Amino acid sequence: MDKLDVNWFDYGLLIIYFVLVIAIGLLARRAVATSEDFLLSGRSLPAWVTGLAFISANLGAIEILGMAANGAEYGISTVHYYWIGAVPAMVFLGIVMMPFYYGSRVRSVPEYLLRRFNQPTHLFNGLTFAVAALLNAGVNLYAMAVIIQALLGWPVWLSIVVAAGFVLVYITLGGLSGAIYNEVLQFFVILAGLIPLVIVGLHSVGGWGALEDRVRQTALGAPGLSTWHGTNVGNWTNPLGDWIGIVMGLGFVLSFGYWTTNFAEVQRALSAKDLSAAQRTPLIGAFPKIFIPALTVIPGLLAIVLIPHLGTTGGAYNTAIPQLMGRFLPNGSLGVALAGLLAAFMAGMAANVSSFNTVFTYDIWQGYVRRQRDDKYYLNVGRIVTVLGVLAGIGTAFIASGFSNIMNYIQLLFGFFNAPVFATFIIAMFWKRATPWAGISGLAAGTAGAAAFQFLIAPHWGYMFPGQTIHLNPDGSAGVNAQIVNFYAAITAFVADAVVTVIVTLLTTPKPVAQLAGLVWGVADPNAPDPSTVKKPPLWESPKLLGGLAILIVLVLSIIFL
Amino acid sequence: MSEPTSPSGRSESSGRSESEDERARRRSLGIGHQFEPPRDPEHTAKESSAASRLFDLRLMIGGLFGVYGILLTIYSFFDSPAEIARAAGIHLNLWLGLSMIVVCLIFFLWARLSPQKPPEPSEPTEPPLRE
Repeated sequence: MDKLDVNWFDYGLLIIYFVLVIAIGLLARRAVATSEDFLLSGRSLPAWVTGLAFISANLGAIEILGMAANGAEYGISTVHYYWIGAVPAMVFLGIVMMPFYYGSRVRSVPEYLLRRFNQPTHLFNGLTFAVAALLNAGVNLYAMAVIIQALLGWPVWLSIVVAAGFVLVYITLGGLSGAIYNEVLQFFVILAGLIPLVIVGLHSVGGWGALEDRVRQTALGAPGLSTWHGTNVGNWTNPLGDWIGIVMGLGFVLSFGYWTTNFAEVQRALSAKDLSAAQRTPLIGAFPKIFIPALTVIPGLLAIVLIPHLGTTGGAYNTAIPQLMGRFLPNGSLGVALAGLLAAFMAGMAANVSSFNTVFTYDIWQGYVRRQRDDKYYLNVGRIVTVLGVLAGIGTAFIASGFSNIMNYIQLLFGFFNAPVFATFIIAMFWKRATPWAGISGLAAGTAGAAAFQFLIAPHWGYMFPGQTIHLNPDGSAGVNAQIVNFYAAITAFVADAVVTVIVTLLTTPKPVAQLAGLVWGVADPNAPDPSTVKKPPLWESPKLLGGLAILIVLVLSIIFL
Repeated sequence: MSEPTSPSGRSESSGRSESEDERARRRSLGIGHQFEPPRDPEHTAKESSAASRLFDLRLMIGGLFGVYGILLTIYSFFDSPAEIARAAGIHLNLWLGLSMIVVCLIFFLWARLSPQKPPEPSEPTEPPLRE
């Protein structure tokens, strides 16, 4: 695709944005005095900030460009990643799980596992999360550098170093508050960049109805306009597989696993100023999440209609949004859109490093390496780990640039670690009897289950292939539908984890119930204030109301776009 | 469930020394000594949280949108007809610029109408309410 025609004014807007990013880091530094200030924002942030940061941390540029690419390649089915694949999990996190996370005062997700189970479980989860976070940071950086090279002509290494440099400055100075504040800023700048693009694009094709007609005439065809078409169990034709995979694999296991146990997300809720704000964090985030597909999937559809041979000679699917930007946006608005894209890239990396440094400092370093030091020591460790984390991210980015297939492989492997986590958590929070050894056994079994399904079962199971017949790709790999395999592997992981957890629980001894206070349903927290002394919140702050409303909207939209 | 009375200065993880009761409670909870708050009596007074000094983000966001909005609006006066035609006939810079100015005003108004509350004074921490 052609480079963008960027002029001095666009660069000026970009420079203003980057100056503000640094300024936020500097100002946030004034609010850092303890390690908890640095790593958890001193648990002081209001719900609207944490709520927007919650989705913004996930709204990296890979997400934006990737979802647009999916929109171009698969059509409206892509919304499953949002409506099924995010909102129910976010509602569940806010209403059901947050009282355990926030009320128990754990400082990280692995720490919950330590208090609930034992050290092996803690270490397994902490280490796999830490390494995965660094991998993701690097992948984010590399993906950004590739896009910048295509758009602006900068060499890949320059983009990596410059972007990492900015992130390094504002999160080392400002800690988590610097990261979160910039994530919120990034959210609004992304809106400012993408909303004009969608409006102009729709206007140019003649509106939504005209877009639908034109999509029907592309290779995508009418199935591209239906979300559930072709998802019958038995002979699925939908690009995301059958509805069992979509609902149970994506909607339940993977989605809940990510949104309720990934510390990069949960951390944003833990930094809220009280339990009510923490509970509302994912709920407030759910509402923008419902409507963001309008800014990613619609450009994808526009791209498949307006750009000839997209996906082959017309440029990779990933270039959908950049090509539309170059096509429609005048200098000025283009600068704003570019600022949004670059902001998204940086924030994706910052979210990963800021959650990595917390887990490394509190769980790994304070937990196992240097224990009884004063808080100032851990504050310094947090800062040093942040710098090292960014450097590791840069390193990973360079590895990705040279060995992108290996990177995809490594990410696949880490997906296996994530798949069973939700099973362990849900059992942990609702079954007092679950024993510490069941914790680690379940996680290990689930991980093995996902890997076994991916490598041993899927290539030999015709149902995993388009057309339900086993065949090979031109390069010799199994021609499976990667999405349905991913979803079914997740279901396998969940089941394996749950079964092993139950079996091991029945064979080992649980912790005394007194040690589970605040961690499990049914074990009262002796430190919680007497309910009769507590004020009722205003109606619009009720988590159940907010959560119910979000689910209702998703249901209505799902029916409209059936 | 409501706004708990716990203060915004979360100093329990700083160097305040614990009472015997606290230590006993932690032992019974099986938290383990690696998660006791670090003991450093000399730093007791200094190390309370400074999180209350965090600035109001709405002013920053509003400020950025205001600057962007004004610059874009001025720049839009120099747009050529060809550029406007490229954006499906919409004078994008002008509209985006004006919208951003409006957003800026909304943020400033919001910050004015519901100002960031100053922190409550530090008290011994209670864990927040669990529903």
